[in-house]
Amino acid sequence: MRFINMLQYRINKFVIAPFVFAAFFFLCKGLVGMDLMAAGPLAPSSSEADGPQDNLKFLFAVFFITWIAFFAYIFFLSKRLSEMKREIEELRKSMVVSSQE
Amino acid sequence: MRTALFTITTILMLSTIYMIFIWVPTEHNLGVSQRIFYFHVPLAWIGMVSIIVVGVASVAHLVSGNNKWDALAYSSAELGVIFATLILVTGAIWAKPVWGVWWSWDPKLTTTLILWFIYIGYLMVRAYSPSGSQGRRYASVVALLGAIDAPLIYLASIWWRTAHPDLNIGPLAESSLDSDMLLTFVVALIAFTLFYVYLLWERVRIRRVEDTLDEVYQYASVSN
Repeated sequence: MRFINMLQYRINKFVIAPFVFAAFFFLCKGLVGMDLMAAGPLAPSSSEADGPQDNLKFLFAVFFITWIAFFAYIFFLSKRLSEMKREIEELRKSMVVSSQE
Repeated sequence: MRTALFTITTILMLSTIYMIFIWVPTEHNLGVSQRIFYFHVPLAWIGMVSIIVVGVASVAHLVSGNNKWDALAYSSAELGVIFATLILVTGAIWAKPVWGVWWSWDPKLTTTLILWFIYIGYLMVRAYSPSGSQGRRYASVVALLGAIDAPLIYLASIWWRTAHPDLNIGPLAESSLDSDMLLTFVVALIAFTLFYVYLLWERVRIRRVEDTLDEVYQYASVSN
């Protein structure tokens, strides 16, 4: 029964959602704070594209790729838990059937 | 305890994001792209810590035969793949604006790529080797090879000519960051480390349930 008790664990999706929104809020606020929104397009076609402030798209890419990877992994763990719960339920049913026989 | 760890990690991670995008000053030479540093270096740190955890847990498993060490090694390897992949991806994204190329065969990059292959190798050995203790022992040997690679990555910028800057972390660090940048870096490092510990904790719990289920299935197949 040890493994059944351990399944009381859950990855709390309701905690993750506000975390994502908060991260997005900070990100947007950060853009305004750095005066980059007012600076025009993120990737200008002129030679300004090599300027130090014009690499924001790379920072964006790193931020989103990192968090997408983390959330994908958490989703994988959550799915694995669901599978195990189903397997345990099947085992429980088969035990009940075999004990009745 | 687990809830407390999750709460602290969340607060620190939000603080890190705030500091990176709003608080920390922009570096003069590299500009905004320097802020990638606060993601990239903690990820690299965890990638190396992870393989050392895999190596130490594998040795403990070989010595004691206790499956809980094996669960720790496997879980850390799985997390290590994610972190090692992110090191390579974020590094490539940072290299493009700074070096002008997505990839170069720099010693640090090359040894990190080797680490990624070792992680993949470890998980493949676990997936395709015989189930039970024999497969675990094979994988432990791969893990030990990986643990040797971690110091190579760390020392690559000292031993070989490399485009990477000075070390910012560890006993040989010669960081030239100003105080605000250093504080942001330290907070990011702690946040990502706690995040790794939290994920590892959860993964180990799930792994042990998986092991128990396997034992039940094996017992059932023998009984039948």
